[in-house]
This record gives sequence, structure tokens and C-alpha cells, in this order.
Amino acid sequence: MPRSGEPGTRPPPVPYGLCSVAVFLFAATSSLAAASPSLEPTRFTLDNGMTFLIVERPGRPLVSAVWAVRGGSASDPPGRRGLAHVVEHLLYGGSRTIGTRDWKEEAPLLRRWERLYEQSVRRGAAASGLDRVEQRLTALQRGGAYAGVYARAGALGIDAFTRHDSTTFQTLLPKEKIELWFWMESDRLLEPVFRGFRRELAVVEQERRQRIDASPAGTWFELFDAAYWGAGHPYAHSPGGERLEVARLLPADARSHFEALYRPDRLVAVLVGDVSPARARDLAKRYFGRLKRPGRREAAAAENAVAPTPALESLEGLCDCRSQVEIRYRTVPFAAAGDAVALDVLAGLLNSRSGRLYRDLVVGEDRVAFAASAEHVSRQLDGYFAVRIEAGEGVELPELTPAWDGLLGRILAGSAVDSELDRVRRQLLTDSWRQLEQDAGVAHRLAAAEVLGGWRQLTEWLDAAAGVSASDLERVIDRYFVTADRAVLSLTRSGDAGR
Amino acid sequence: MSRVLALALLAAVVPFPGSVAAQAIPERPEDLRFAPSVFEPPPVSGLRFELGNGLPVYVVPDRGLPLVDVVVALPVGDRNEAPGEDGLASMTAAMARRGGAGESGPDELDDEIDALGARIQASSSWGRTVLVLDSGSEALDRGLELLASILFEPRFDEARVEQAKENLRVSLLAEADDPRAVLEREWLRLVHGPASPRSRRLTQASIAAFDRDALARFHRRHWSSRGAVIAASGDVDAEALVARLDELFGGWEPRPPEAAEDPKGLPQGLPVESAEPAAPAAVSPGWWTIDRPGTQAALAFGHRGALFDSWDDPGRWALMLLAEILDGPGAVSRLRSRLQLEEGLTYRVLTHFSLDIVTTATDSGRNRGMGEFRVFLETAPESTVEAASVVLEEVRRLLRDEVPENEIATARQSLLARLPLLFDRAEAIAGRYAEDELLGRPHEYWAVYRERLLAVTAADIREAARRFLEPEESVLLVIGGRKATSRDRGFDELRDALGDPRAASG
Repeated sequence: MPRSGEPGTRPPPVPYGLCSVAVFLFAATSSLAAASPSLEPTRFTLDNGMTFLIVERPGRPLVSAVWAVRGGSASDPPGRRGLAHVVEHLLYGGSRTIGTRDWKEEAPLLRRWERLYEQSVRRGAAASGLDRVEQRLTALQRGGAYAGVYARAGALGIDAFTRHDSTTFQTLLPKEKIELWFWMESDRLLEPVFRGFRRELAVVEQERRQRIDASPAGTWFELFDAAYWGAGHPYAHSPGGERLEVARLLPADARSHFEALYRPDRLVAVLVGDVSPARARDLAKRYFGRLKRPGRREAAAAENAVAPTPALESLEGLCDCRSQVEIRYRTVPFAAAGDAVALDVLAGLLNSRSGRLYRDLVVGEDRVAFAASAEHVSRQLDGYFAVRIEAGEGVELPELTPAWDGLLGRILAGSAVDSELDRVRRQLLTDSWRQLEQDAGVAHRLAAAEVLGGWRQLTEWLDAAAGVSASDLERVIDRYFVTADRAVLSLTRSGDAGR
Repeated sequence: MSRVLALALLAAVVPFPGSVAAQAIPERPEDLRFAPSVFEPPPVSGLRFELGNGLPVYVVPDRGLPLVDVVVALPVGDRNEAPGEDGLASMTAAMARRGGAGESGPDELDDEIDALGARIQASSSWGRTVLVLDSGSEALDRGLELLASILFEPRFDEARVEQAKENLRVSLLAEADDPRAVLEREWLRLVHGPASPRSRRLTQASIAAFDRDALARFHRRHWSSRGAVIAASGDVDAEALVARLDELFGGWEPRPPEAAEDPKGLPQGLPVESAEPAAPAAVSPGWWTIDRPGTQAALAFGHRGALFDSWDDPGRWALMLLAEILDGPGAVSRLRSRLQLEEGLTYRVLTHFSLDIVTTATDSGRNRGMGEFRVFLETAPESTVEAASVVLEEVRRLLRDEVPENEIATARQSLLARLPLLFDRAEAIAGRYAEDELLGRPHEYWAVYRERLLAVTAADIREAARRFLEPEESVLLVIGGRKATSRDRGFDELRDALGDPRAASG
């Protein structure tokens, strides 16, 4: 964020779209472990099922603290797209202790407000008394109190991210004050109070617009997700949700989402910094040990059903943007082995300045592209391989997809050479070290991997990537890069439409 | 005896912060007791070296990971462009990296860097050009050679320059479609006046003027060791690294001989101050609008930034706190409280205060620098007037009322809490102290940082507000699809301060 030119919080350490290949280039290979033995996290699980990973890094003034819940926008029920994101926002409303001047007085009023609000939404008109009760509530509540407590303690980077398969909450605080994090986070998980419901719906809508509507091609990418995955698919909508459905959400929806997903056996917390595992364990037991262990039936009910097959529909449109295509092939869910990793490596081979996309499509003799990139997006339920090509000067949209097909043919014709693979492996290894440099990044990566099935996948991924051979690449290209299994988003720059 | 009791007894005799309540959870977070956390920036002594040509090098070893970062920074950027050269500084940096260097053509250079698993980036901004090598320690030696080659003998391959120009032309078209980009460009033009270097933008004409020769000339004239610094960090031995840097960079001249006798007789690399236009810029305060239909509107509000004689100007410290109070990233942000928490009008408001020092001045008579004070936000089209009036109101409140002590204390706490982030890794420490030298900021700045902020009073903040904030001289630019009407909340206040809304170009 551009601020005063003085100390600022870093931008969120993990970009939108967590499961891209770059995020998983994290490693503690044997050579690395030897160089910095403290990077192996200490892992423990409380009796209630909540998991902790601690990476002790002595001497750091700040601790990066992250917790994540297994479950994000893919868990939104039909007709309530955007619910997970709304709950993420509501969790900053405080608790029975934080955010209120007098909980005893506030509680009955809040219940009354919720009844009136529900009536209003159902009827489509404000119930009488709603605004009056809301005014009284506002007077009793302390807006921004949650963040205020942290700020007065010198904490920063307070933020949260809703993704398809997970929701993550982060804080950065002075190492002396780590107990405050345990207090605050366990408090809001124990007894959250969803305040300012109407306002948060408005803010969530603003965020959706800012992320999607304000960028020229944003709406098209959102529509393409819907076309590619197909109606009703858990990944068919963005975490931002759907405007009309968000507007009709009720506090009861938020509560049932919270109860179903924010349970200790779905929670992972990661601390990176100058904090000893023993002390963390002690504090974790005392504070998070208060969360109730879910019954077995509850635990089973919350698991996702098997994801439906994507619809793979293509989409064409006009846009105030550069003419471009995104070509998607259906692949496999996230895994730290086999085809999933080979596809990640293939993306590495295609990208970077010595990669095929740049050489052939961006700067080559037959160049067609302003820019081109590849990404293997693998999530918990399913994955796809995306190639994005933006048209260069004087290039028409219909030239783009054939240019990619030609490139693919050349790779298949056997020109994926060992020196290219060596280059990718070298880059992957160095990247994996780079990703250990920042504590907050390490915390986010560990949390994301643990939520997806175990932090060790990060090291397994790197080992698997090092073993990918040219024949593995041929195999995955053969298997997945099939025209019948692809969908294409084609956007023509509005100004070019008449030509 | 239970463990709880044992600990309680222990706590009774040994004052041990944090464990008095070892097994109990205090009712409120304010009841927690912490050891004091006072962050001291790491000492700079022992980090600075000099190469044979006097080039300063800051080295901070950290053997934790087998990685090294080396940054070469030059005090050169957009501000050194002559009229008509818009974009040339950035293009020179980009093409130095992309157009081949020394013996290597563009593809060979990329191949070699990628095969090392290294990254080399070159970029340029308003006041600096930066070359960064980021590599595994075993690839460092070759990486440094490539870095030196890019710095001293870029080839600016003709075909690659042409291809980059094609892409720039395409980018320029896309920029016209992007409301955020249009808002930024037009707002700067209104704030600084069309003649200001800050208003210069890439145009089809300026792109056409770029060619291999123009890039080579800019490189020859401006990429000298005068004022440059090097920062290195990571898995290195300081002495050995400095010796190697001296071999590669120790002969770099303060100004290359060719620059002194430019064949075309173009203006030489002038000192920054005199390169700027002398006449006061034609700024255009007021309420401006650009019609652009859409579901989201955006606005920018503010004016030219403050200007200080020194890094230790008391007004500068006060303004840092003022900025934090108005809209810092910590918890005290009046704008965020009003616009997001209370009204739900926006998801994010971004405020920027330049805190320039006099060397970058144009217009020192009016005590205004080349930077800006700017509030940017996006909101629904029907809420722009209300949101802008809240911004105006909050700026005026800072001029009118003293900020309450507890708010100042929290803001100060937030600022101080972010200080460790500036020194949290070897790379940050080396970079920060090297930047001091690049900017002419004394290292002492960090040593007094805490005490100066602690000394700022409510009266100081109000004085800073009066010295630096000019709500009635501001430019409000709104880009969106809905006309403001007098029925909008805050319409009258805005009109009284800034006049009637007028259409801006864009």
C-alpha cells in the first residue's frame, strides 16, 4: 500500500489464488535442513483436534501469526454465494468481551435486531423499528474495537483472505506480546458476535466491485469461471460471491456457516518468529483448548461431497482491454506427487524469459503476444492448466490459440530438452529458498499446505519436482492437453470489434 | 500439590512477567502484562565499505539460507528526463536487462541468468534506478559478472527495442481503458500543472522517439557512479565480497568521459534542482469529474506534497503522525473508521503523503514538493459525493481541532511498531542504510526516530496540519458514471470548498 513513505505493512504476503504453483515451491530438502535446521516446524495437535505448527526463529522482533480454516467459498451453500467471505468479515466484529460497551444490554437488542432484519429481508421492506434498534445497538457497540486492541499493542498486518478451499487470518505482533494473539484469536473463535451485519454486507460488495468490476476484464474472468466449472460447481463462483445473494444473507446463515466450519479439527495455526514451541504449546492448550471438540457426526457432515465434472464451456466477448485468450485444460486436484507436480514443472518450463512462451510467442520471429504465461491451478477438488496470451500490436484474436497449439506441437515433437529441465529444477530450488526468507510467507505457506492435507507436502513437492523427466512432461501433455477437455475465454478489444 | 498451585507459589516469590497468571485467562486483553518491547535499529557500524572509486557498499551477512542479494542503486530516474523523453529512464533500465549485454545477445543473457537459478532485475522510478541480483550463493560470482555487464555494457538490441516499443503502444491503449490509470494521470496533471515533470506521461510520440541511440545516450549520460550505492546481504563473507565487488565495480567512473562531450550538444546531466522548470506550475484546484459509466466510481483528493529542509524538520515528524491519524495502516485511521467501519462506503481507502526533502523541489517558494498528499478510494457511483465530503471534513477537522492524546498515543505506537519491519532481515538492513546514503538521509535518523516521535505534541500536529494541508486548494477528481446532484449528502460542503463540479479531460 502506498503510504506515507515511512514504515508500512507489507502487502499481503500471499497473492490471491493460493494454490498456484509458486506457492508450493517451499522446501526443507536435506541440504537446506542442514543449512538452517530451525525451519522444520514443531507440530502438535490439541485434544480438540486443532493443529499448531511452530517455527522458532530467534532474534526476530516480530512474530508472524496465522490461522486458517479448511473451508472457503467452495463451501458456500447454493443460493448463498459469498457467505464464507461475509463470515470472514464478521469475525472482526468482536466477541462478548471485545466490541461492546455492555454485552448484557446489547445481547437482547441484537437478537431483536436480527429478528427484525430477517423479517425485512423476507418481506423486501424494512420492518418497523429496525432502524431505531440499529441506532441503539450502534451506540452500545464499539466499531473497530478488535483491531484497536491489537493496534494499541503494536500489532500490524491484521488481515484475512477468503479463498476457494480455505480462509486465513493473519497478524504480526511484537514477540513479547504473543499471548495477546492467543487471547484475541481464541476469544473470537469461542464466542464471536456478528456485529454491523448490514454494513459488512455493503463492504463485502464494495470489495467485490473493487476486485472484479473495476478491472476491465474482471467481470469476464468471473463469467469464465462460471462457464468453465458450470452452474452449481463449488468453484464456479469467486470468493467474492454473487451480489444479489450476498444482499439476502441473514445472520443465521453466518452462524451456521461458522458452526459448521470453524471447528478445532478444521483449524490450523502457525507461528513463525522468536517463540519457543514449549511456550506456544502451553499457551495453545490454555487458550485454544477451550474450543469444544466436535462430535463425530458433526465432523462427517461438514466434509465436501465429490466435486462435479466441470462444464468446460468456452466464452467470447468484447472488453475494454487488450485482446486476449485464456485456454484452460482440466487436470487433477492438488497433490505433491505424480501428474500434478509434472504439470507444475511444465508451467515453469513455459514461463520465465528463457521459457517457451516468451521465446516463441512474445519475442520470436513469429511473435503474436504482448505477454503470455502459464499456470497450473490445483485445488482441493480439481485443477486446471491455464495459458494466457495477450495480443501484440496488430495481432488479431484468432491468431492466438493456433499460436499456442503450434508451440505445444513443437514441445511434443520432442524438443523439451534436458537443459531446459535442469534450468527449471535450478529455479525451483532457488525459489524454494527465497520463499523461506519472509516469516509471514512461511506462515501462510505452512498453513495452506497443512489445511490441504499436511505441511510435509511442501517438501514432498520439491522432491517430486526434482524427479520430473522429459517423458513425464510428454505424458501429461498427452493426457491432459486434449482439445476436447479444454475451454477458451476469448476477449476482443472493444475498439477492434468493427474491423 | 497441584501444578497450578505450585506455579502460583512460585509466582508469589519470583516476579516473572507473564506467568503470574500462568494458568488463568484474564478477563480482558488489557489485563495481560507484557515485558516492554523497545525495538532498536541494528547498529550501522561495521556494515559500510568503500570501493577503490569511493563507491559505498553496505554488507550484512546472514548465513541462514544459501542466498545472496546485491542491489546497485543510482540516483537517476524519470526526473532526469528532458522534455520529450517521457518514459526514457524506465525504458533504459528495462532494455539494459532485456536487450543483451557484453558478449551476450538477449536470449543468451536470459538463458545464462535462468540457468543459474538467479534473477536480475532493472527498473527505474521517479528518483532512482535499481539493478538487483538475487541468486544462490554458489552462483554469486557469475551472477555478479552478469550484473556488471548489464550495468556497464548493455547492448540495447535493436530488435528487442522495437518489440518493446510495440508493447508500449499496446499498453498505452489499454491504459486509456483503465479508469484507475486515467484517474491517476489526470489527477497528477491537475495537481502539478501540465508542464510539471510529474505530469509527464508516455505518449505515442515519446514512444516513437525511443530508439537504440536514445537509450544508449541516456545510459551514457546518467548511469554513472556519482551518488550510487551498493547493498549486499545474505550468505556472504563481507571482506571477500567487497574485494570481488571492487574488481567489478571499483573502476566505475563518477561520470563516463563520453557524457562530457555529447555530440548532439543536448543538455548535460544537470543537477536535479535546476533541471526542473522554474516557473510556478499552473495547478487547477477544484472539483473535477470524468464521465465513465460503470458500477464502480473512484476518486482522488489532495494537493502537492510537503517539502522540508531537512530529515529532522520537526514538522516532518509531526506530519508523519498526522498521516497516521488521518489514514495510516495501523488501527487509527479516521478515514477508514468513517468510510469503512461506520458508513460501509468503501472497502479500502488509500492515503499517501509524500515527505520530500528540498533536493527534489520545484517550487520551494510555495513550500510544496514534487510529491503529493492524496486520498484515493473507490465507492458506488451514488456515494462519491458523500465519500468525498467525509474526506474533506476529516482534513478540516485536523486543521480545526487538536487530536486527543490517546489517539496520538495509538498512532505513535502503530508507527513505532512498524519500525522493525524496516530492519527485519539482512536484506532490509543493508538496503535501508544504503538508501540513507542514496537519499542523503543521515543514519542518525533511525537512532532518533523513536524519541522524535515521542516528542510530538497535539499542538505540533495541528501546526503541521496548518502548514501542509490545504483542503480548499485541493483537486478532487471523480471518475464515474453518475452526475452529482444537490440532493447528495455533503454536496453543499464540497461545492462551498471547491466550487461547482467541472468536466476534466480524460
